[in-house]
Amino acid sequence: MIGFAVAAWLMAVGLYGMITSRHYVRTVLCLSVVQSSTYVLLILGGFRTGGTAPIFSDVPTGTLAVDPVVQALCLTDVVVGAAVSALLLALTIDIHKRTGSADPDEVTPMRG
Amino acid sequence: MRKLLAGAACIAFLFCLLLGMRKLPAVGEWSGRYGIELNHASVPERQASNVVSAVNFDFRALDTLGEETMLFAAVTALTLLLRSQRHDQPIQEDEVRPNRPHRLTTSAIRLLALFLLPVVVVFGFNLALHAQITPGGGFQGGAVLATALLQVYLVSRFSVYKKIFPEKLAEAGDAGGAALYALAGLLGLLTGATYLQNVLPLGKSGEFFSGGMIMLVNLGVALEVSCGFSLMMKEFIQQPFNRRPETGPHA
Repeated sequence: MIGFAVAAWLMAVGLYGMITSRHYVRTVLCLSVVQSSTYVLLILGGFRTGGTAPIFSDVPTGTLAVDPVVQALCLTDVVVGAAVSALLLALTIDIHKRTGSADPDEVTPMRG
Repeated sequence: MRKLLAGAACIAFLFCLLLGMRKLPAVGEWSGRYGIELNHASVPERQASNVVSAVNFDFRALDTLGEETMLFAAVTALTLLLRSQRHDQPIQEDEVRPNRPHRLTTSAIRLLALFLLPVVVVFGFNLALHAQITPGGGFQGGAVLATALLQVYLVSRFSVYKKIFPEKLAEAGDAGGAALYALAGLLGLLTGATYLQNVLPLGKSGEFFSGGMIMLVNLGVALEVSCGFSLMMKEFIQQPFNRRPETGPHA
């Protein structure tokens, strides 16, 4: 339960950061924090007490191992996170080029 | 005021999340059938000792095709957004920070990076090529390989980095890697099986050539990720060195 609480805490803290941020770069960083909560949740969700990594090169098949599906999902999650962050940062640069500001309050969607 | 409201909302949200998580199975007691079946099937049926790779590049290879296409789209969109415009003029390095003259990093750091550069390249290839046997894979290896070029920028100037950056090659690798993945799936159709089915000789688990198709599609991913990430980094690094003639709001 304490592990799930860590995931929930990361998500809530990240959301708080996103709402209160006054700079788009900070918003993007906080989004990464929110996303990292899903990593924690996924890895914990597939954990099995006493299980090894799902790699059967040193241990024989049939050894108790954690769920490989959530680990694969987590990998997907990391890649998507990197792509989303990169794209959002590119948009931030573009916004700053166009308006000279990266403050969400100063840059309204209808401008420009 | 905003912080207070946001704090209250986030605490309420946290409370709801925790309330929902109470009904989840306790940590360590998960016993989903799918994962267990895959753990048992990977070595006997696919000769791939790394089950995570087997899931990504074989059992759920179609999902990874989507993931890879998403990455390709992101790189394309990023290069499109950050492209240099017709009016942009390249500016010299010393102009970027006029009151802070450019100095090379200390020789200690440069020596360390010089020593680390081959290590990083070898480590990246090691990760990327042994996806079917040990932890790692195209995504991880590709990301490590992409940082090798970043090290060049770290120890030298932008002009050097720009000169050695193989832009055409990186663009071709990005697209070629994505294409290799998609086309490798057609092998299955040619032999009468389904798209992205593992039809290559499986080999023996633990050996370099094992896992059949896993290696081939993994190579496509490694190529795409390393080239795509390098391109992304280059676009970001290049930003301060492009200038529009009249800068300012609404320029």
